[in-house]
Amino acid sequence: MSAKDQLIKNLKALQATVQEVDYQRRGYHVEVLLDNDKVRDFAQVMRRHDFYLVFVGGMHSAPNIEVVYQFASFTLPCRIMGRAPVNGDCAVDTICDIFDGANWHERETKDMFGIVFKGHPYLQPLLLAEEDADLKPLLKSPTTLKPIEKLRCLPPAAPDDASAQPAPAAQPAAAAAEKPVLPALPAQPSAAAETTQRPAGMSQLDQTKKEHTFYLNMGPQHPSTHGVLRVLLEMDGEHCLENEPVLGYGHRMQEKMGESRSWAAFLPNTARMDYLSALIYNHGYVGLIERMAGLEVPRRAEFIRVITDELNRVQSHLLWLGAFLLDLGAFTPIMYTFDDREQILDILEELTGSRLTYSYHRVGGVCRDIDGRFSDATRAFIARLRGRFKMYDDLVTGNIIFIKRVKDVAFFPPDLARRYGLTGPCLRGAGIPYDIRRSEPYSIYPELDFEIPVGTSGDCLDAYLVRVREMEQSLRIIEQCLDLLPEGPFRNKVPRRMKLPQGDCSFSVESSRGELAYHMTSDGTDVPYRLKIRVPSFSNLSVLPEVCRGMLLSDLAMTMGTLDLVIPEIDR
Amino acid sequence: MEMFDLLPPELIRIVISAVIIVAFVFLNSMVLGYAERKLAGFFQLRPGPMEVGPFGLLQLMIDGIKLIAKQLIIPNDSGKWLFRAAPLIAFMPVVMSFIVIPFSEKLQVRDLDVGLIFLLGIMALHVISTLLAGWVSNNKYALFGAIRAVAQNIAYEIPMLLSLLSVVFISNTLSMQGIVKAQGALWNVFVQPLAFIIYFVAGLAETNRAPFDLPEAESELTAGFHTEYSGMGFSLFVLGEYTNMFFVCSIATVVFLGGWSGPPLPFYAYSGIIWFFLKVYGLLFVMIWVRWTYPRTRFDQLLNFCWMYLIPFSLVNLLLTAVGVKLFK
Amino acid sequence: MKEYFGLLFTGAKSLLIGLGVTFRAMITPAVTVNYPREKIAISPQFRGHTDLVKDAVSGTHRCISCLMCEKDCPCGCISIASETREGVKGKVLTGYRLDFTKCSLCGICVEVCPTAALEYSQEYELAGRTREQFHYDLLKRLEARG
Repeated sequence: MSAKDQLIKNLKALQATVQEVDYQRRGYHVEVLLDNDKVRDFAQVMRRHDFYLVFVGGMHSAPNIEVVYQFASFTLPCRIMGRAPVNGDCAVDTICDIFDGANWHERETKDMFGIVFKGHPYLQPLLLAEEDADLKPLLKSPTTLKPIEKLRCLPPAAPDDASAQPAPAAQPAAAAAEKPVLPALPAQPSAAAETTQRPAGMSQLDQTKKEHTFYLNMGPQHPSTHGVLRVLLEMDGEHCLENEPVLGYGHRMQEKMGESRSWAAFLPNTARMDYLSALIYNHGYVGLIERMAGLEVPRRAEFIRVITDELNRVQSHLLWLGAFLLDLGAFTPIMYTFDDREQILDILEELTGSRLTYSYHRVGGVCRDIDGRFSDATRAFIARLRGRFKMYDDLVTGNIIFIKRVKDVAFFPPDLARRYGLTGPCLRGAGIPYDIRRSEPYSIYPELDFEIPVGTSGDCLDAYLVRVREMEQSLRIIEQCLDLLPEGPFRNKVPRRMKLPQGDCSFSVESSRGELAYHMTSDGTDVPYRLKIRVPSFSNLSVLPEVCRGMLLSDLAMTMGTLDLVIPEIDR
Repeated sequence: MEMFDLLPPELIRIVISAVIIVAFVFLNSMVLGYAERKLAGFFQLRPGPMEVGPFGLLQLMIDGIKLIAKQLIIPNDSGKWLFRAAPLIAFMPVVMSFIVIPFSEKLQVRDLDVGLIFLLGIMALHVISTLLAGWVSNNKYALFGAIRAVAQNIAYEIPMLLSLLSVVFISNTLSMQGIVKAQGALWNVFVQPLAFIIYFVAGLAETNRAPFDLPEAESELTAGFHTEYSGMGFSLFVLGEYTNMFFVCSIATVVFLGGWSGPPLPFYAYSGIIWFFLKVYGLLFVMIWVRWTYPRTRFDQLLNFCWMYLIPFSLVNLLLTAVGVKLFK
Repeated sequence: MKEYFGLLFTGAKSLLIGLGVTFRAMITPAVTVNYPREKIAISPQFRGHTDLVKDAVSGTHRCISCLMCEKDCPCGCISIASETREGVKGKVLTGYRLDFTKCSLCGICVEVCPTAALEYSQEYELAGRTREQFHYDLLKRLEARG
């Protein structure tokens, strides 16, 4: 029996509704509808099968708020969505002792929906301020709340085929005939739910603080936290015994904005989340809409998308290289990498008109075609950057001070990655060749020939080497695309007010930092009902408390640099 | 007392030279600060200061005026008088050290018989100011910087002392002018190359320059021990640091590179100062060059390097020098 | 013991190679441009704020006040004023107000316009003291361009 069949068998044993769905249409392979009390068993099954946690989210629909789980595997091409309704107290069991990454995801879901996760050790606001803990911004108002049947995917065959409908949804024909009676919003969590009520301002570290230690605040304003991130450190001399990242300083409610404007109008927002991989974020979003609506993209547009995505990836890694060395105290390499990065920015400015926050990809293609000048400039850039890699090796990679700082410092073992959902170059440094471009390929990546660089021991030096080699591989991809670029249209016309078919869909891309997953639920109009954005830096940062326990302060700053965080995408 | 036996011309000479020294210290900081920023620009493929004055030559002067004009912010919870005193302690001893440095054969304020010991003692005072500044600021980051500075400076004084002692064995005198004269044409750097390298590396650590600049590590500690200082207090620290750099390099020049000696120039008794400055600024160029190239070492690696590499090598060097002097003299 | 000396020599060699790289950089000319004394030419594809296109044939703008750009703007930064005049078919544009402090440069307005009446300008030196400085009236700007 194959691993996947064994998995489905174990899932069915949970007395849940397990259904294999069409990956081309939905973006995942198996959908599992659980009861409220089967969540932990489901997580246990996932853990036993070596899956990693992609995200934990929520969705507000009538009659119940749903908790949504997505899991994927490094080895098996299988993506699992699990849904469980909350009970009468708006509560569900926590899974954060099985998957440690769920700790932060559940805190965020509690912020947004008010769902109480029973047994969570520290269910305090993560992205919202403490005084907004009862705000619950993503709950729908009675006018916008829709019944769950309106949000489930309709089968592609005749709509009255009742056997294809997943339980517990009612018949779609019957639901459309009568006006649904919308229940009241869920009650406030009762005292029976176990939460740790702490007064505002106290931190999780107070639970375990020792006598002789002191708190140091690497505050929101700090030269080496790459954005507005606050890390609270419990210090014993130079050693950080415990640390707790405090998020939310840059929270802009991007997910709420995704629900309040049409799908076409949300595109600029995607670029603002991770401004260094803006084109990749654009690509993920338009890919999601195209997958949902079943739209075709011309081949030339796919090639152009890949070329610009990979240029964006190279630019992001160059900036990371400079900033990482700046964290370590070397002031010159950042200038050299920014010099190279300027070339990319100039090339992309000629093409898209913007230098950082691009809105270049469109649903159905790209918004402007490339010409011979772009190809010539890109080829010249590739030749130039290839010649510069030796200089970076001489200046940085071989430098004894650098190697001693970075080697054998912070380890990201594969099991840690599974528990937290760590993806990207840090995961590949641990030896796992997991890259969305290979395991769940999108666009034209299946036709391209490139390697996935992996490291051996999972320390920071390996993550560094993986990123440097990824730059070379990206250059290879760009060259192949320029050679294979077909003629043809660059954009298929798509109606601006196109209504998205009802149902949900997921789309994952490999951004410079790891796996970026969009998950959209649509109710049949052109305004999405729920847009969940799973960003890689969120899961990458959540490993910091465990990895950096007991480290020196210098090493903590260096590990944060290795994780390549972009705080605006964490805070969304 | 000896002071009252001095003839008025001698007293006048000392007073004038003291004034010249203080003026020189400020001028040196201006030149060195400008050189550092300009060179930093050249290493980073950019021009450096260009706006103020032709090629930015007046940049440091305007910066000095700006810093004097800034408001002195004194944190409420810090020790008021110690907070004001710390920058002065950083600045004054280093200025005093210029008394014994031989700028040329006749240009020296006072040639003490124990000149080298005097200078090593001055160098030790620098740590007190760093510790005081960090501690009294009532700021955890500043305290971090101060604590690191104390361990670093105390550790690196040992190889510095040992490498200088090797030279003392050879030249048989502790007076600075005597060491220069004892070298003659064969500079000590050819006789004691290992001691020179050890001294230079230890000198980088003593002045808190990269790759040993943990006390003021910008990316981890915001600004290290001088986080809370603004205006004149900060500028005194900067002045102290640049003067310390000049001071360390001038000891290296005097002890290893033959001080003011070189091909003869007219008025050689006085114009030896030109060779002296050339050598000192050459070493300062290397210091700046090293700063803008390497990342920072980690704290335990820094101390490890000192205790596991520099001290054993300098001890071996000292031993071999002693044996060699005994055998060949 | 061998490791001790081996590390020393490879380390020293790597340090000297690093010094060579920065020395070579020192003698390479600077790559920066002395802005604002010298300026780089901005590509005509640069996406600055929108401007009304001056039609070559009619000598004025092509806007028909259909309000598509205003409706589709995700940021709500466009407000158009128009009126009907006697003897003129359709609406006449009297004011096109762009609140650039809210614009996200997405380009939806340019793409959606049925008469291609909008284009991107190349202005990038935008600095001001008040918000009102960035409330552009594109019609007035077109008239000022002559």
